[in-house]
Amino acid sequence: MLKNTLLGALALLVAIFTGLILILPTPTALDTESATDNDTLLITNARLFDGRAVLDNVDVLVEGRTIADIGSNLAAPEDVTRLEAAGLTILPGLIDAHTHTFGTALEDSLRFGVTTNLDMFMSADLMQSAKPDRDNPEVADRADLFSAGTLATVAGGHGTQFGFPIETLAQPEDAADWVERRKAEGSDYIKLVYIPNQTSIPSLDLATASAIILAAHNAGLLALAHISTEAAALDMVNAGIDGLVHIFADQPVSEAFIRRAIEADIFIIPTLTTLAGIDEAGVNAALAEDSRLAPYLRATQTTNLARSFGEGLAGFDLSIALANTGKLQAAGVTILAGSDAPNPGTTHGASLHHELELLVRAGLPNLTALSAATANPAQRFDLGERGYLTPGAPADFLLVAGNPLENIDSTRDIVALYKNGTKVVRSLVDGGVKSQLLQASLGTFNSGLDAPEGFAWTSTDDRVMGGNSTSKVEASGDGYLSVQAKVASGFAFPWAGASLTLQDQTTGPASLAEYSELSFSIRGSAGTYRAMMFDTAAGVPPTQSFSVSKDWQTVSLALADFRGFSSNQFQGLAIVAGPGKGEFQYQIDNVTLN
Amino acid sequence: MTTADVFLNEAGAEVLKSARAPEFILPTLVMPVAFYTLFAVVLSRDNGQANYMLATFGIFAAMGPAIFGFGVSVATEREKGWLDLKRATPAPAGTYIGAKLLATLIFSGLSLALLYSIAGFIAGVELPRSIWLALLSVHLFATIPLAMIGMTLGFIMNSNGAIAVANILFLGLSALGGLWIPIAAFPTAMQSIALALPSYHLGELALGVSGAPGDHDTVAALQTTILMTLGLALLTRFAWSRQKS
Repeated sequence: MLKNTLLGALALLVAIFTGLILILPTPTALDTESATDNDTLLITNARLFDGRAVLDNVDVLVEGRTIADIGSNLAAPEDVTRLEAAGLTILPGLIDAHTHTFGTALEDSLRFGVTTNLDMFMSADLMQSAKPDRDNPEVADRADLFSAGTLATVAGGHGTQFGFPIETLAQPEDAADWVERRKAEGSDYIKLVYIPNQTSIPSLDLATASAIILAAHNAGLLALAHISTEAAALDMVNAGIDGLVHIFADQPVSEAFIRRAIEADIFIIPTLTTLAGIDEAGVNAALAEDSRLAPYLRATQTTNLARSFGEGLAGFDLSIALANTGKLQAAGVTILAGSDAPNPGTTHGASLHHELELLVRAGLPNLTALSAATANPAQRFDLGERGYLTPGAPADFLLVAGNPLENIDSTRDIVALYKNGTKVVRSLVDGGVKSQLLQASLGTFNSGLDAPEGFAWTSTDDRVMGGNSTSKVEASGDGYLSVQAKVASGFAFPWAGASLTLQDQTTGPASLAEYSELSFSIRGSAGTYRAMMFDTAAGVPPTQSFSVSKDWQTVSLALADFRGFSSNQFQGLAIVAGPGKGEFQYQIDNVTLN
Repeated sequence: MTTADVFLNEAGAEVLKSARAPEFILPTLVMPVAFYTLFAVVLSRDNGQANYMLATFGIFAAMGPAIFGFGVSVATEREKGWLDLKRATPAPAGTYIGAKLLATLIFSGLSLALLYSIAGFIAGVELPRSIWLALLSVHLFATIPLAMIGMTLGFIMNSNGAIAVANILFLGLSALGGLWIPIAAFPTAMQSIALALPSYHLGELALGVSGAPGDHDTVAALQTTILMTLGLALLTRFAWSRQKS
């Protein structure tokens, strides 16, 4: 019967589709990644340091972005990810209480288990753009930033030498307004430079420094001071300072100072690793040879560890600094761990592990040293539950092999690292590797529209094809390439955006043979954007599409996926909006070949 | 024979007819797949295109059997007096149309199966299973309004005219509806034409459920296509009554 022909045809079609739906490709990589991101993780049989104390043989349950529970023999569903941690120690994400931020500081810190940086002076613009990430639990590729922003100093004083203009103070009357402006800019606390009674560099006087401390307290902010002598430190303590961001090493600490420090309940961030960079430069450089740190150091980090302010500088005696730190801590003064990276001899992340070792060498018990990098800075700087491992705290933690309560340098032996519940992949983005033909970085935009030799960043749009789209690119001033693009009808596949193009034809095309991936950070008007590669062939350039949102994201595109691209004939690339029409504003940063 | 049996036999006859004379239906099945292979796989140097184009080419694939299978064959059969004969039989009138629609769905399904295979196994399109299913539902659903366009055509045109107009509709609905190139690439005047075409809204619906980049209002597209389908049903009914008289 004809009916059977139909039913047969229908059955066949249903069978075809059932089969097809079952075997058609599904995006496996993406699925598993998002699944693990929000997975429940049960860590079993770990030694746990919670920021203050040690618990042996406990389980830690991580749900989503937070620590859900800590205890013995925790119950969890069968299908959760399990991590057997016998022989490992779990620590809260470390806090570096003295850093300076630019470039890749926050990413570099995180690679070494430092999940929070307390910055003590950086560009206010950069602070404003970087700070919001700390409240975004989706961000798991960099440390959280707290910052003093602009520091308080005088015209020509310490802090004015770094190549970007800062607002200085001249007299006590300036203090209140100056502090209000810092607060409005987003400074989390106030740092001032007080180095009187020397002739090499001008300094705030005591009256102005005192007025700043008062103004900070009136504004509800902590006041911290950079000092280098006991006399200056004593002035600051008497003026009501909350903390000192260095230990003084001009003389052994006096009983009088210790008494005052305890009465005033100040804290001290000794930054011994920076002092060691002066007195024991070779030791700092050797950090780059520690097999537990070396694989995660960028080439620039290794270089910085080998740099030094010089040796035997007066007033920077490491043995005195160690002794003073030990005495003050023994007497009951709170010590916080800070590296002062990236000063010569230090680097973000790795140097905090060196600082912990030096604190122990100064006489701090291992447990106190670990608190100095976790719960103590969290408490003093009011960082909420950062620095603690308790139920409800953000899931920022590291698992290290061995027992840092016995061997402090075990903190370097990171087995697993989590930020906001997401496992951190501790890989280097650029590896510091340079191609013989082209540098890995195609644009950092930290100093204008920097580009490899022979290339330049310009705008690009379809007007060259008779279209009507327009585009404008400029350096944003805060270290990005800023693009304004208007994609309009006129050409069949309209585009507008930024391009890196070969300017110097004598150089000829470059080879990207050593690289396999193009990556860059981008944020801006939401929509689909395209990356195109230009080689010497004519016609439609190989293109990959990606989505952009208002939040920064890193786009990584495999060069092999630019179909038909001759990687040894690289003439440039473009990052453009379109073919969707409209006005687009976006920012690009760190265009890199990996 | 029950009405259902009549209907199923009628549809079976349609399938058998097309299977025995594949030269009429085969081109409409293969052309969308060939176009997709050419534009999304062979010529494209943009990795996002195979994904994006699958959504819109699925509508294109559904359109072939709907407009040619339906429109042209109805016009031919009507011209040859087959429809008069049908009306003289005791079979309910609806079974003829219903059977043609079901046969069209089967052939659209074949075309889609080919298209999905090319997309998944050659162009490297990866979608979650739920999206593959959702996309299939949208593409099969698209057959209904498009078949109504074909049917209207068949009722009001003679067979020669139907072939010419079917070609114009087939290509016009595809190109102007943004099934080959996103309408964003068109000048503004052409874009407003797209808004009036069911092919555009079906394409938007498919792009929306497949999670394609860009702004695709899935709910609005679904509402518009349902409204357009109802409008086309009325039009088809009008055309049916017109050819009867």
